[in-house]
Amino acid sequence: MRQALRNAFRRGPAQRGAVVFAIILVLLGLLLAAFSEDGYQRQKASEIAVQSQIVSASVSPALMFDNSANAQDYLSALSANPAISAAAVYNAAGVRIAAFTRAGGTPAPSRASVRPAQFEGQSLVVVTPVRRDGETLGAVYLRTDAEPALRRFSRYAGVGILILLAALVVTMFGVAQGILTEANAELEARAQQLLQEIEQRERAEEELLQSRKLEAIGQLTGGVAHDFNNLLTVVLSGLRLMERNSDPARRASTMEAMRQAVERGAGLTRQLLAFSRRQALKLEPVDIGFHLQGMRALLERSLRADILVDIAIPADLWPVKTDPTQFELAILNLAVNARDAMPKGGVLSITAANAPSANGDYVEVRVRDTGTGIPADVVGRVFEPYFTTKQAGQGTGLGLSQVYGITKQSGGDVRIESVPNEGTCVTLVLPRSDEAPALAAEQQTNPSTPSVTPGKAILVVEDDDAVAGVVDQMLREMGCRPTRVENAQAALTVLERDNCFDLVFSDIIMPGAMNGVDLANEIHRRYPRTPIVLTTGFSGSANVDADFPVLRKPYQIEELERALMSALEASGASR
Amino acid sequence: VTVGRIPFIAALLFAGLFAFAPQPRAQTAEDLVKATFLYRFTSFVTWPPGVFADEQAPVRLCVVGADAFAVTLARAVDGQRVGTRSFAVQRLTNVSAATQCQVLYVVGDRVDDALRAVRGSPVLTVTDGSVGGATRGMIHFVVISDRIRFHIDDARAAESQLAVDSRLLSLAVSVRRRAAA
Repeated sequence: MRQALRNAFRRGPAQRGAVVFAIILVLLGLLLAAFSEDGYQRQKASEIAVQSQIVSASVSPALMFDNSANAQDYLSALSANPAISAAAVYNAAGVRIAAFTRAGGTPAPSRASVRPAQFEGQSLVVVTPVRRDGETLGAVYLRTDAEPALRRFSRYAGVGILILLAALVVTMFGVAQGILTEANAELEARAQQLLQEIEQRERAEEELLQSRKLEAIGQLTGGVAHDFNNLLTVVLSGLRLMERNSDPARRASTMEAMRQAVERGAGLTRQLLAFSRRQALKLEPVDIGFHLQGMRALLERSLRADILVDIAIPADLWPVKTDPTQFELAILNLAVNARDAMPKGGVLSITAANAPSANGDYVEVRVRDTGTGIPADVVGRVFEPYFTTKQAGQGTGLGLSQVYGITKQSGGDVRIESVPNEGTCVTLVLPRSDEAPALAAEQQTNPSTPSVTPGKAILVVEDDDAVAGVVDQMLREMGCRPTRVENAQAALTVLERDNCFDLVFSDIIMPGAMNGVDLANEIHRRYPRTPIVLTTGFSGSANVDADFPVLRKPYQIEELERALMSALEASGASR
Repeated sequence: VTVGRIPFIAALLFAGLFAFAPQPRAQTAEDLVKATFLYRFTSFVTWPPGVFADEQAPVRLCVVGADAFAVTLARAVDGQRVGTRSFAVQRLTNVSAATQCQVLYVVGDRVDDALRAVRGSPVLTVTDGSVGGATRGMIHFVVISDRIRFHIDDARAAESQLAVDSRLLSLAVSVRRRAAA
């Protein structure tokens, strides 16, 4: 409080003003009191002067006729005035002829000379001459005892206290104002500081996020490049083998290996895209067993030789609703984590089981390792994005976050149980799908070329010559009649000239003012009956084309044919 | 100086000796006080209009039967004024002329004559009991406790249209009140 007071006095014009005002107020009060006191004395002096004039006039006959008794009578009458403590009448010779002294008071002097009213100590004394027709007859002495100091003080005490109170109030107001101002300033400074800190932290977090993404991309690029090199090696060597070998059986085997390698490459890019979160989540019925069995080779190759992969999937497992690519990536992430948790080797077991419950049917997929386990203090944080226990450059902290994301987005859940030095078990809970995984089953059961729609005229809009060549070849293989243009504007020109196409197959990302989606909308506006199929290697725009089917690159001839067929059938059905 | 005048001068000298001889105490303090009182009385008495010719006309103080006192009075009033007026002292031998006076101090054996002569006229009559006179004028000096005091016959003053200030009345030993107006 003292500090605050000192501050209040030290800083701020408002406080200083208040203090100065208070001082001025007190000084004004003192000045007023002085004036009042001075005025009081003047008034008293004037009063006694008048009184003595009256007495003087009254006693003049007594002096004229030397009648001291008469003068004494007048003086005695003065005793009625309590202010007068002594009075006397002197004759022309200056001899006191009558006197009055209040009990206990000092008597008037025996001789007195004329003087105006003036204070003598606490007394006010006046000696007035008595004159008559220019003749000085004598003098009158009057003395009043001034009010005692205490009574005089008490007269001003009320006003003084009021002034002091006012000054106090003003001062306190100033001090309070000062304290308030100071507090406000402090608060503001703190708020400012806080804002700056928040900004700094946000900037730092942004930078950290960016650096981690860069780190992750670097990691992935390295891994993907390595994998791609392997795949390219397979394809390249396969081509060499096919050139040298004319045995149809061996060529078919080689081609199958090449096809698998390319498919894996496609899977890798899909995973990369999924990781970069540009892949639109595509929930569909998925046969987990099929996908897990398909991953066995990948897992065995990507994990080390000292790790035994044990995949056990019951035959009656329900299909689940999820994104198959994301699901595979989740399993892969878990497998990689398991591998890293088992530096001295161990068992990675992947099991699945139906889990009916009151809230709906689910399928639980368990990925279990016999590794080091996760410390209890971090097990709660492992699903946080960018949380990692791996050394810098070895992990991105996004693996389990992806697992969490896919299960949640599928409408399921993920649980993690870990016992240090015994192992970790991650359980993916995925909702059961009512539909059968048709695509996968069909793919599996009927890999041969489906029924074609021969003779269909297809307008292909594709800016990449290589892709356009492959598409052209595939369409001709299917018995269609493809016409290729390079961009949207050319496509519209061709259509204007001759709208004889049964279907438009367009890439989405193209140079020029219009992209594939714009083109599709424009064609649909002009030729509503012409079916359109879009294709893209990116998934970022996949959500805008709800009206048009999108075939995602890379695709196989069967997928292309299915997409075209379903589009043609849909347009035919609508007719 | 003619021979014819010598007896006259001698007579005058004799008369002067005779005149001053009976008042050996003429220059006493008592006479001075009375003289002072006498002219001071005029401050407290108001004469009826027409008595004075104008504002500057002196107040005429007449003395009958006390020549020495007249001298004392003449000295006492020297330089004194009442209001705008000065004083004139006059020794009277013929009391019938006293009606022209404003104040008549009379002692001796001619008191009654004098009072009778001015009765009803606006003349303040002053008699002196301290020199043995028993007849009282409007103001009558007495000696009490060695001090000159006076009685006032306000009723008589009223008969002569004279107003006497109450302050003077209050100084009197006794007052014969005038009839209520």
